[in-house]
Amino acid sequence: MKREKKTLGLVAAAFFLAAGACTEPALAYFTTHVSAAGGHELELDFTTTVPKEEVSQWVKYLEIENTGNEDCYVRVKAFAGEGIGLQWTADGNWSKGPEDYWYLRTPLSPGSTAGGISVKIDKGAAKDDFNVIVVQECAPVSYGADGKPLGFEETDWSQRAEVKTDSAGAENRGDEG
Amino acid sequence: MKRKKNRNRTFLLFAASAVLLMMSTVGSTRAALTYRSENYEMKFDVSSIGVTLLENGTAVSRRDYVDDQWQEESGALLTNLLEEGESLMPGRSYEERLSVQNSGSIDSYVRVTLYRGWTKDGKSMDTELSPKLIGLDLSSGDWIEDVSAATSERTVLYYRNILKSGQETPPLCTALRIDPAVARKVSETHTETAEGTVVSTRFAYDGFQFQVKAEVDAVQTHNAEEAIKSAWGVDAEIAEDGTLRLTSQGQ
Repeated sequence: MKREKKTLGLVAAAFFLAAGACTEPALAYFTTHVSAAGGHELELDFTTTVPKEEVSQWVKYLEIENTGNEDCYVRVKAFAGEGIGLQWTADGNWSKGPEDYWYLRTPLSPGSTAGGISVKIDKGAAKDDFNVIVVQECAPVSYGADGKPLGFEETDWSQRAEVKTDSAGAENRGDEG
Repeated sequence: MKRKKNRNRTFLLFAASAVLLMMSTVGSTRAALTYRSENYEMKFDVSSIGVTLLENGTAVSRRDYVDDQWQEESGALLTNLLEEGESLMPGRSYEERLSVQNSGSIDSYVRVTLYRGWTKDGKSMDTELSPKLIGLDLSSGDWIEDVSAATSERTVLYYRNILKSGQETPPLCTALRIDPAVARKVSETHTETAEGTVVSTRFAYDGFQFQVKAEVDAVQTHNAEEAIKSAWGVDAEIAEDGTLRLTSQGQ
């Protein structure tokens, strides 16, 4: 009886050995991986321009200075009461365009001043005081895919900042996308 | 009589297992001898997988298995994006050609996972600013996007073909462009003081750094479907010509 048990034990051991030897090796695959990352900081500044006017002989001589840190395009326009005539004189750097504005044809770089434009006022029959108001706007230069600045005709003057405010004092950074 | 029969059966079983054991041993010995012989005479290295990430044709990072050890080089992306003193212009398209080279000695399948996002400290990504404003011109054709794995921050691309040893893929990305909309997002903070309300205005994205990360994975072409499933966790079908197809999306 004892001998039979011993034999059976040997048989079982032999089977285990055989099964172990025949088992497929653990599956492993050749793989590799590599990675790299990088980035740059974005520096954004508000574009600001300051108009300067000089009046002489019923003519307003205009100058606009870029006091910001980015190139921008500029456009100017004047308003006056009924019966007041306005006659513009501008050099080749300016073009008359949509919405009765005069558009600077080339970007105005930071610290630069654009002149060469004036408006002559014809008071006509007006006897009382009157105002002639000059309005100027600026828009940051947009860049095309080639990195070159887009022309003044392509400037989107309807752009508005998407402002999010938080009266509680907490900061809100606007919508995504 | 019955006892004798049992004993015979036991011997038979013993003999059968002994034969099995011998056969398996013989097989292993033969394989080992063959392997050693080839290794000795040809320096046959079957496990030399390797992959290199290229940016604008220049190797940035690589990881190759050479001489029984991993050789790694790790670099950074976008280091040559701007000239000295140049500022990044939103709207401008910058050349950013990313491709993969098989720098190993065996063919492989590769995939690239691209991450993009905004960070203030260079470590943790901001969760409020939009990764969509970091535009990457991705190539199609030879690269398949796994749309099921895509998020606003992550894009996973699989190279459709076998990447043979020494070969380079066509670019998976050709250009980078920051959407000019970043200059329209302004945040205001209103703070109540004794003198009144102080309104602070600033660009939402000013001072933030955009980050792009590329992770490249390579896997053997032998037994590819199982290897891809095991290594990457995706179901893929390999056509007879070696073309990879993601079964999850029929691509």
